[in-house]
Amino acid sequence: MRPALARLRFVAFLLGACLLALVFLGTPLRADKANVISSVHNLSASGPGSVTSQQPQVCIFCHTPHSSLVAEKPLWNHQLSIQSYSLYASSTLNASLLQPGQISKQCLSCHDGTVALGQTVANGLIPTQGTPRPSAVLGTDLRNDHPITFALVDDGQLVPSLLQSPPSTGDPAVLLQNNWIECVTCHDPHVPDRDPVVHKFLTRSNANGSICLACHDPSRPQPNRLNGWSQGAHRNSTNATPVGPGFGAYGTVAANACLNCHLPHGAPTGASARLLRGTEEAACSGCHSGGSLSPALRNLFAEFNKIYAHPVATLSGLHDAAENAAPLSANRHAECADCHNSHAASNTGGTTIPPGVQAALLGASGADGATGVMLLQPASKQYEICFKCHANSSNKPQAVSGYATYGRTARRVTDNTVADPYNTRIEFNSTFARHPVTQPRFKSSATIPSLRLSLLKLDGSVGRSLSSGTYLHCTDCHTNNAARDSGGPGPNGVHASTWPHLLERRYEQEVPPATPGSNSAGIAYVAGLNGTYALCYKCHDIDNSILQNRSFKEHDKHVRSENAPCSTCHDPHGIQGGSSTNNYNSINFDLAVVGASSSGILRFERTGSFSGRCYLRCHGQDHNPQNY
Amino acid sequence: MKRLSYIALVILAIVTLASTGWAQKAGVIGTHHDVGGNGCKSCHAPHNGSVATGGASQATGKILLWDRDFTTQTFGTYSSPTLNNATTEVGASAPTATDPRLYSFLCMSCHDGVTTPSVIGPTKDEAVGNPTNSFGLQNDHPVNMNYDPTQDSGLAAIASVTAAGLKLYGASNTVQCASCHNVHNDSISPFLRKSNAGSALCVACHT
Repeated sequence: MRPALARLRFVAFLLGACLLALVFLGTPLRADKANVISSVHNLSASGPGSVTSQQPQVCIFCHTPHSSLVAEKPLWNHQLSIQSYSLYASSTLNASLLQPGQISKQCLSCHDGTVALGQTVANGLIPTQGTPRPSAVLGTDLRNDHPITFALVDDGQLVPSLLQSPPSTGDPAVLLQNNWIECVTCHDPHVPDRDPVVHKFLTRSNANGSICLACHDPSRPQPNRLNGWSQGAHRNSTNATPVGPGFGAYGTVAANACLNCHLPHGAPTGASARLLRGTEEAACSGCHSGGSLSPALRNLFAEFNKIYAHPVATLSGLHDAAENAAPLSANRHAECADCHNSHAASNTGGTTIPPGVQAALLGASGADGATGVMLLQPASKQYEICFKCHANSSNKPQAVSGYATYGRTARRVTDNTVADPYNTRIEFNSTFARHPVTQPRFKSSATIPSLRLSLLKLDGSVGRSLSSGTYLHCTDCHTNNAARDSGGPGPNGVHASTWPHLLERRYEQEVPPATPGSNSAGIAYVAGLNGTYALCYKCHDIDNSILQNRSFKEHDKHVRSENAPCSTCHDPHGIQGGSSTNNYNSINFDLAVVGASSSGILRFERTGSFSGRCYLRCHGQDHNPQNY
Repeated sequence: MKRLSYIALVILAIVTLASTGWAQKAGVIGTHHDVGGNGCKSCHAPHNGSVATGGASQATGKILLWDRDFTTQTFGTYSSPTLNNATTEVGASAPTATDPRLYSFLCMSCHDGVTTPSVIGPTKDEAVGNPTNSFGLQNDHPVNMNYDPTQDSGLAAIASVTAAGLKLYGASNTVQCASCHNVHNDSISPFLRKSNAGSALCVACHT
């Protein structure tokens, strides 16, 4: 062969090869039906799966060259099922589901388990042996399977191209059938291994939730519960997941993605809506109970064994993802999803400056701070999440008899003058006396001489600055007694605490006497970081300022000599009703402890800087009034 | 090197011809296509077209010395959302002697279950084209269909189809009954050009 001719032929060969490669690479869905021969869909004598037969032909179980079911394409040969199916339902599903579409019914002609696997139209019954994997038999109850066969309705979370005409998914490997989602949108019955990990005839790898994300779009704007996914912990965490039931197969949290929490098929009873791995907290506990992942997560669920806890583990069946409730009133509950949005929640470290939401709370809904009745999706301030239950809710726990387990009726002087005394939102919105939760600190250090420059962590080390204009988080006081943000070994957050009121630190309140105002033992003062008022000590220097009488001149006498705890005189959230004169610096007497004076008056009056008078009876002492 | 290539080419040509071109016509004797023991005369007559077998037309003999009446049925065509190649009616009118359609049309002299009911009646399984009992050709693999892999990436190259022993007819490489079936040889029943064990016949085209 002459060199020039050889070169020409070589070039022609290369061009041909490139063309061939283009044809195959450009059309991934149609490639290689011969793959079915190596798959469990090969029910012939050569089949590798658990179901085989003596039949030498492979295609025959589904297709026939002659006398196919005329209305079924392509050349359909398997006897169809006559079942009607129970369909997926969910409070967050906007679409109306129909019975499975034509092509999905073809799949179900084997996968509903009611027609013999070898029951063909043109060839009669081909006897088969063996049984399919249980997971392959969906049955006629499709309530726990991803919905198919419905006209797409926008819910603000779908890929926009699905809503165009004609609709399409965001991924050319994930195809609609007649504009609808059918089995073959996610599965290609001819190609078992496009996903080399999960297999299952997926139309492409579903690592990182790629198939799911072809339709479900986290980039759509709020309100969109998926928004924040790309920055979220469940999308990005590299923690390894174990092999076995309860976990995705891809090996890490990030690669399992949606499958960390959702199951496209076979969700357990009670969790079928939204196809979760478990009911309510059971969907989370597999990973968040410590141990299962590598490196292991903190054991969050052990928290709920503490004596004081949000009722996550004890209440069930009350939460619904569609509740959109602000506030939660009659249907009070606290499930994981009430404070956390698993799509957006992040494990990003670092200090979140209040009032912003911490990484773990990103994407959760809230109730607004101004009215308490407007749903915010998402909440941008931590207190908005708490306000769903602890602001305008008509059924707050303080108002019910169960609160007596804390040993007192939680009432203070001004509580008798307002309509909704335990509404923390109104308390924090006080113009003259409050902890700075919804509003920044407005008092100068001169008027609060005890205030530290920065708060103290559990070990006494210096934490966040408390400088003028800063805020507090609800979780600065109400959080795990061993929260890692405070330097402790445990998880953050107000899941549970060993201290009453889910407080982070010790905060002694006295046992009320039989009659308010009469003698009682009070609390013997213990100083320091872990002392009787450790929570207050976190920000207020009790020993070097308060007990040195730098503000109220009788502090030392009250606290150390008369055993009066902070809470007997101060109302920690803020003053609802009342006045600057009567409730300056959050003075608002505890009515379980403090009674009226011998003149029948129960009142504090501010007369000037660090001076005033009290009318009251407390620990058997009559102030009628007592000036300072 | 050059000589070696030529030798390989010649061997390939011989193998190809042997497997497809030189049909073993003697293989029809004793099969279902040896109708009533008439051998070749089951379908062909040296003279007089279908009149030779009691039919009505001298003209049928103009095509492959055909001795059966031509079907007058209209069979309809298979259609599917995923069918990308053009498929046209097999029946309704007689083809010319050069129309590749005849490689399906002639089969319908018996397999329509109408034209020669004494051989295949309308309710027989073999009457695959019967318009009344078997939806004509609407529920059968498309025939009289162009085979163009550029229209459907799931199809094998034409060269590999013919190399596998299947036949495509005419300038448009059409699929006809005779693409899969060799009417003259039932050694691979039912008259297949290639064993379908492991669905090898199907995947010769459907890769």
